Amino acid sequence: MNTEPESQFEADPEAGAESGFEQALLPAQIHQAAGMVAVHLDTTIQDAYHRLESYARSSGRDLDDIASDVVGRRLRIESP
Amino acid sequence: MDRHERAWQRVQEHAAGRQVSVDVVYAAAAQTVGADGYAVALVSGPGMRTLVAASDRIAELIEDVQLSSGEGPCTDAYTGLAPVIVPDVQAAADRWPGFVPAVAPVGVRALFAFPMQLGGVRVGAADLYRRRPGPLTPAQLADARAFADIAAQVAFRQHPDPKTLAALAADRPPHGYPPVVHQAAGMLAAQLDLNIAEAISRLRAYSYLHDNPSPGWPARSWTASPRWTSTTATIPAMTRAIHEPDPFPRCGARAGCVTGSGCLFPLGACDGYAAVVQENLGTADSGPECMGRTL
Repeated sequence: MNTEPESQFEADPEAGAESGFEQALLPAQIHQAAGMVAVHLDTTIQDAYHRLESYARSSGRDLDDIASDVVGRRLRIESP
Repeated sequence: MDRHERAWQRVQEHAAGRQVSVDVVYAAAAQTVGADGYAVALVSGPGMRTLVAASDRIAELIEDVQLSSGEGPCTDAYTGLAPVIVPDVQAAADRWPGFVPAVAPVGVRALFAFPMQLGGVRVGAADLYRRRPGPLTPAQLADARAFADIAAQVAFRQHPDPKTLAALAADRPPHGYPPVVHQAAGMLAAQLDLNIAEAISRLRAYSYLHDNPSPGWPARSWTASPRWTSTTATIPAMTRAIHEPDPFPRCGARAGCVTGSGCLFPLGACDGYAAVVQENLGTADSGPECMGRTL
């Protein structure tokens, strides 16, 4: 069985309203972390969300924790 | 068929086979009651509410100003758990001294705000606006309430953590900036080596300094630009550029600036923005791709 969790940030035009809704309700810290990652990696905001999410997934930690560490400058996500 | 059933039927017509979202519910509501636009803000956690749907930039502004000033019809609808009907926005300046001066100049003449609740649990609030003054008819009011009930159910079902909603304090309106402000704060923090609180303060300060209605304005235009790396100098530049006499023609109206490409720069702001970027960076910068022009 595929246990890969579904991304909250998939850009699926058919599900635009729903995914936008999910993303809009994320804690502020995740948006802030995405802003920081966008600058660090010189990438788009949307891509920054993906990077945060895949980092959280590969390290087995919560997205909230990762965002908190990025904002607190305990973690800097580098280019793969 | 009662009002709720009829409203639900309208929603399904608007959804046209897609999953029903609060956006779809309010698109149907606006059409049914003859409103020019709508915006929906949902409670996202203790003390936080977030814009989740807006029909246009005026609707966005209506919500942005309320989220940052903490006052306005939606806020009152939310706290009072009752509709707030404002047939003449200009006459309500005493009631909301921070809100009315920001929305009256862009042509918002009547506002109708509705709480979204399920059994007294607040989910959010929505507003419908008109460019002409006047009240809702009793039938329109009843329809609008039915749509608000439907939207509340849709929102509750889709909420990632609905349990948090039940525990919210009833008397205090949640406030908060839209996600884009937090994104911009993160960008600013990374670029200027500030902590997040300082970054948000700076965004706020620039907004107020340049008479922008809410920090959402510079932030939105800033983060919407793809691969845009800013400098210290461009932050005041952004806010200066955005403060144009008539910010409302959409940038997307310009040839080459495709609607939906993410650029939310007001049309007039593009010119000021382009000039200021050139002035500050000294060189032609590619800038946001969707500006529809080459600097």
